[in-house]
Amino acid sequence: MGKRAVTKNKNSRKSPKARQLVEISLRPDDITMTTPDKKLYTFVLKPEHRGKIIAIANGSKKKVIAFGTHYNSVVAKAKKLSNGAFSIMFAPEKGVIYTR
Amino acid sequence: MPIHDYHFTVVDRISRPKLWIRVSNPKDRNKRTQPILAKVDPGTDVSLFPSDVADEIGIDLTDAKEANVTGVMTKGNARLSRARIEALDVDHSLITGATQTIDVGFIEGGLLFLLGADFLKSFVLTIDYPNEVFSLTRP
Repeated sequence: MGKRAVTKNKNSRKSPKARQLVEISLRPDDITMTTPDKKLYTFVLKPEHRGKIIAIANGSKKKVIAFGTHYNSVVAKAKKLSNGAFSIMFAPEKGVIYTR
Repeated sequence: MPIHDYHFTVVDRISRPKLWIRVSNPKDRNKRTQPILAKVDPGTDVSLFPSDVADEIGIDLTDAKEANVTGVMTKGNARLSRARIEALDVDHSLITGATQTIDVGFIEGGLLFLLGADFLKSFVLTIDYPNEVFSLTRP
């Protein structure tokens, strides 16, 4: 994993809403998913996570603890690794525009 | 309630409206999933989840009604069954007044979690793209 550097949004001093938008710069292959909130929900998605169902550990250090193409196997693996404190989502492919 | 100024989720610097939810078996609410981040998609008629979600919460799809699903990212047969969907705040606390029991389409081998019009139709959905927030309020 590459070295991470935390960079605050330019507008972070202007309003609380802008302050919530924070990005973490990573090595070029990594992508970040950020859910701006009181605590900030940011973690790293590696290229192999893309297009897969992923499990994210809860707590202060959020990271992908399991991933795969079958929901049940991802949940089973995540349960073993996290004592049940995790959440589930689909990690989109990079550059894919989702439409219907 | 229910949901005011819920921030978009940013992936690859693309912001999308997504909502944390928990899916449970309406016949046994103790059988429920971990928090799931679902895409708010008013263009989807029926909310769609992988069929494994039904297995996890003890919903038997053997005799469930089948429906064809067509979309850019989702193609195949879905099995429709009642499921209880709770909306969660970003910290995964329950948002009161935003729980719905609806017919969900469970897709074999599906990967996406889509919250469709069947869930959203009880609310006024406001998507504020410039400020990257959305709200679900009662009419």
